[in-house]
Amino acid sequence: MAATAAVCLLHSSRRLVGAARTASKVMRVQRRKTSDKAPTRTGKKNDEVISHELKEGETEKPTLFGGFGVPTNIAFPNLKGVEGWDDREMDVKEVIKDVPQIFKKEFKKLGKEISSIRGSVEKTDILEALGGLKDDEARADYRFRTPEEISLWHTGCDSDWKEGFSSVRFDPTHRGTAVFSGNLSSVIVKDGRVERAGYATIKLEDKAAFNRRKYFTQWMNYSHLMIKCRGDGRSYKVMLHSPLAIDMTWGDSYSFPLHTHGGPYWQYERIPFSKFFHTVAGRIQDRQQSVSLTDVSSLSITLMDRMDGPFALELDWIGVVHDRSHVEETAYETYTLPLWNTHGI
Amino acid sequence: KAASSSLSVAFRSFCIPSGAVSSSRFVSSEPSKPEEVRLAHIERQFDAVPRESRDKKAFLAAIAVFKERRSRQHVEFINSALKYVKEYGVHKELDTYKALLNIFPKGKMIPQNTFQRIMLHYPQQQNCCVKVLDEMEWHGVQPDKEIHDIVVNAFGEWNFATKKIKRMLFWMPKLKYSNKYIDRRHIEGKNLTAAELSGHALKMMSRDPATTLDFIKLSDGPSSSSSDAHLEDDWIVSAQSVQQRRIIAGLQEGTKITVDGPFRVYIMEHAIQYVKMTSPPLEKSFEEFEKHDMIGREDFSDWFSEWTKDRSGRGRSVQEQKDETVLAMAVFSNNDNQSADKWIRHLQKSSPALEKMMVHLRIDKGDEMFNTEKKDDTENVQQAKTSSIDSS
Repeated sequence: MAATAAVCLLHSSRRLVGAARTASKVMRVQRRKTSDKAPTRTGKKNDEVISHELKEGETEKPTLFGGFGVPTNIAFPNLKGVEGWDDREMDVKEVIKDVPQIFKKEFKKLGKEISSIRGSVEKTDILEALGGLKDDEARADYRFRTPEEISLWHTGCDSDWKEGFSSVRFDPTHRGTAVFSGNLSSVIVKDGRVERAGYATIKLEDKAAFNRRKYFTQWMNYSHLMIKCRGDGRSYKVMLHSPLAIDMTWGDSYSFPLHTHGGPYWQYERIPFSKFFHTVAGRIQDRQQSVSLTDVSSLSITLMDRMDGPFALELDWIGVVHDRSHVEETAYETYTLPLWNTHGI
Repeated sequence: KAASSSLSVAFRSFCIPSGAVSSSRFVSSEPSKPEEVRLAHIERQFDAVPRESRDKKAFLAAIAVFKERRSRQHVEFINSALKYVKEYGVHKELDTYKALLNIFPKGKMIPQNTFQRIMLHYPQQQNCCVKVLDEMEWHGVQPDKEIHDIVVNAFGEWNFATKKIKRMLFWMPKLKYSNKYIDRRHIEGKNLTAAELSGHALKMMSRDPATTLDFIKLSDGPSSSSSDAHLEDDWIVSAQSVQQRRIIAGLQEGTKITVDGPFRVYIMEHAIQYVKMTSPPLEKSFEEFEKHDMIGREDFSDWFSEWTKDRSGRGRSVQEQKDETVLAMAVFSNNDNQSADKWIRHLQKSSPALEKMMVHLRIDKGDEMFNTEKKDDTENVQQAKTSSIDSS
């Protein structure tokens, strides 16, 4: 603990006292590749050290590309809202080295995207876009048959951020489905910061070329979200994420519980889009609005039902269905409060 | 009454004697007194109670003792009490939280002018109140109007802590009954036996509304000592519907039927292990979606025959799943192949066709939910004995 604190201190002091160091005689410069607070991902080590021996009389000269001792913060946006996520340091040289490879992959993706633009003139597609859907018309968009389809889904749990002891995995089965399973633990990490623990989640990260968002516009005119799943009786939570443009709205989502009845029978769980309530970073908001699917770019299924123990949810497909008798626009009150009101804090 | 008085005697050695300086730092003016008053942490009040008598009465008594003795340090006491709420087993009771919030003085902390309304008036107390309400929400305890009034009387109508209880009162009732697969009122707060819970679990899992539940008591003969009688819990709860019996009657002779288990299901916070009896799927093709291209949509040439066909055609029953056909479900008190054998015997009474089938019992495989790999059929398969063996 003391060693890590010393390293952190070293970082901050280096940023402040850049000029004064030129006079001092530094024998060995050591720098960690990533910050101590940055979470460890599988396969990546957090304690790679870059070191360089200084010759007699040499001072640390700042260079344009990859100077030792010069902190370079390439300002990762802190999308996950976790302390230390954006505290990474990397040599600019390395970033430039990786660029051609990344660009090649992304341009290929972009090419595929352009060639598959939905300019369909099929009557069914036009009617779907305009809202002329028949009763019980459905589409199953996200399946779990191939490894590529499963790789779109990323798992997360509290132990990833060293805030708990849950475990999570997302594995394919021989039936062409995938199982979201693991063990939930509400044991609290004794670091004085964490108060509650125990969550596990899978999130769809289906991005277009250059990490652009894909929106669920195709689902715009359907009334219900349909998930074919087989649970274990626990109550999961479905979240439709709509992070939008500014960092204030990055936590915007619309949630609803996904109750499972367990057992060997498959469950076609239909949740009307009108029933989703507005949450920000998982917290229910006072001011409610109904979900607009043109802003939604991701979907996730979470388990945080405050019960310890193993869990398993088998997913066959996720899609939408239209129920023409469903006329409800939103299940929650949408009146607006007068100007000087108490909903502020 | 006796319990509370004995507890108050126990507490006296840790609390400050009345009339002394109101802080936990107490300097004794008479060092020669045999009974020294030591510096005592508030948590000792809860720790001192022996584990056997840690129940609701003891907890409420501790709160009552605090209320009559101290006029300060509510926040420290409440924060300490919250740590022991689960140990004393009172975390799911509304009375606990009402008693804890009643400790706050009424009226004193209500903001009187605009500045007090803007700034978080009595922030430590408000945060403590929110912690209590958080704990209540975490354990799923539903608030009522009385607890709202307690908080309003303490902090005012539109304050930070009251907003929390108002939000709880708005959202928790909305989502309390959103699970349409169980009726919470039958399960939460009730001391159900394992068999009753299993019955509820099987009812939740059965998608056929015409499922009937049977409770089969298995007695292995008289036990040697009477003390073991209550431990011998040998029963089966079996769930089967008329449709499933019809399917069994219609199966071909020699069809492979497997009894798989145990699998895990949760009913509220209880975990139940169940077994299922399945056969291979009845139909080769399993279509969930109808074709929906334009040609299919607007082809009305066969409209009359399609209409008549649909009327007389047999739809697919809910038992017929894609990979298996579910024939029955059960919960055993002991998960082993012997219980499965007895269960099959019981089912044979209503479905005599079962005797002609090849029943494979795979109970001893262990708890594995949604096995990702295909189970090896030839490993450790025990065939159910036919009617040549006499039933016990």
